[in-house]
Amino acid sequence: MLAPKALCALALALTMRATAEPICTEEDQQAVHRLRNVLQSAHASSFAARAVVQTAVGAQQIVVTRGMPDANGTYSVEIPDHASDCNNLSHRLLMASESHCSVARWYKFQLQHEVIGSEPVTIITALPKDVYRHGYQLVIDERNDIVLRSTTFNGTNALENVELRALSIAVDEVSGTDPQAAQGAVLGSDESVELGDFDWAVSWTPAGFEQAARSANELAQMRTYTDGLSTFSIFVEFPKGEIRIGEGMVNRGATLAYTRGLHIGTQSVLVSVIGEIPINTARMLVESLEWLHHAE
Amino acid sequence: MANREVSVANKQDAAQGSEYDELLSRLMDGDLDEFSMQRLLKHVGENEAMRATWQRYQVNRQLMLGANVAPPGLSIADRVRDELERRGGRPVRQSAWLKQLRPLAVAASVACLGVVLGSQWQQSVTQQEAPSIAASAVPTVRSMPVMPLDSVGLQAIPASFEQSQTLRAPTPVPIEGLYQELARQRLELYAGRHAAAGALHTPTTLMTGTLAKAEAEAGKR
Repeated sequence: MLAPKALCALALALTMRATAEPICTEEDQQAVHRLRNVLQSAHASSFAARAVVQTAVGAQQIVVTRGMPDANGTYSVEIPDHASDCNNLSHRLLMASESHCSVARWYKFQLQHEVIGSEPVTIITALPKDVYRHGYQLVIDERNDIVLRSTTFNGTNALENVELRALSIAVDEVSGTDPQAAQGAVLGSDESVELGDFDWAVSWTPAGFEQAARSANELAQMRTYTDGLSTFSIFVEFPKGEIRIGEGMVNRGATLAYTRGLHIGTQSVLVSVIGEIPINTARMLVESLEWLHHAE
Repeated sequence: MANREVSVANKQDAAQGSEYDELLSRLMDGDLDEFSMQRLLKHVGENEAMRATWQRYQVNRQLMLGANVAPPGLSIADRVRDELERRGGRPVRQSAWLKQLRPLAVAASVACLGVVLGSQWQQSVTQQEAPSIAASAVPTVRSMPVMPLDSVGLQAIPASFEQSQTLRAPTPVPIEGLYQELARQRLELYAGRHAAAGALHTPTTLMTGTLAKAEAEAGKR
């Protein structure tokens, strides 16, 4: 008779111990700290570089700059600078002081310190703790907190690899970009406006994802979610006329676009999920949508 | 004793016949390796009954696909043989590299046959569906070609009766392909908004978002 009780007690003790154990390690905390530094413009240097983007369909090169003009005048992309007081939810989740584990609740981090050339770098690998998000690996220049290489992978498959080459860093110069202006450029670029309550709700998201933004324009209503590292947006359109029910998906590097046509009562609905998430997550998100004022 | 030998021989023939039937079935399914295909083609070339079976399979397959096509004259081998006989001579001994290429050529011929039959079936389906599309009063996704789907999308333009008489009916697009195109268009449409609201704000998707936003802005220009 004692054996079952003993087993129950042991199981209870193990459960309590597991609950009491910190859910993130020292390695996790160091990785999160490094990721915070990458985002904060106060620690960021101005630079220009040649980015080599590799995806499943091939590779392309593009000049990227941050805080400085492209000297060659070629086609270039400016990486937005992030102010430390940026109010985006992703920042808040990453910077959250009340929970030092932050995104380590959803990702297991591995940290390596290496020297590439003569530069010390930190290699951070973020392994998802569930199947609803991708994994990431970042190679970060320790002196300047610049991401030299970022790889997004699903399982063992690399979906996208972006590597900076021919990096030119501005020395002892204050960034030429006003952080507030850059922030405004990023956040203000969304020309949509708030249009009251939506007629749809998302009843399920993977653990850790919270709504970061919500907007609408004449074409679609959008909700954006983030867990601090991964993001996705759900777009809902209400086309006039009838559509055939169906679904389709395409990938562009790490970014997925999944579109499904539905009939909600007599209303045709086209739902699109755009984001850096696996296809199964996108499908489950669409399945979870609740239609508030439409009879299904 | 002689009867017993005949009986054994018949059993062997039957066993080989069922083996070739299986190979033929696998060929129809497109699941036959080169070595087996060589064996099968050799056997078909020597066996009239097997050739009839092959022809019957082709007809059955087309009927299953709903095509109303006359039984194909399956006689690539016959035609080749006739041509050789017409030229009056035995086939020239082939070099080693030609022998190596022959399986590939056979496979290509089978593939071509599939393409031809497929296109015939597609034409048949198109001809069958065209009137219903032209006469459709309700705009549907299928009733419009893929490319004109603009940013608003899915707004099929109902053709008037006169127009339906003069306009060529658009080629029906499989719904899977259409939704793949819709997803591609949505990616182009919304990647910039998604980047601005989400991807640009995490260190792991910063570069992905930056490139998406740049492409969206380039598209606007």
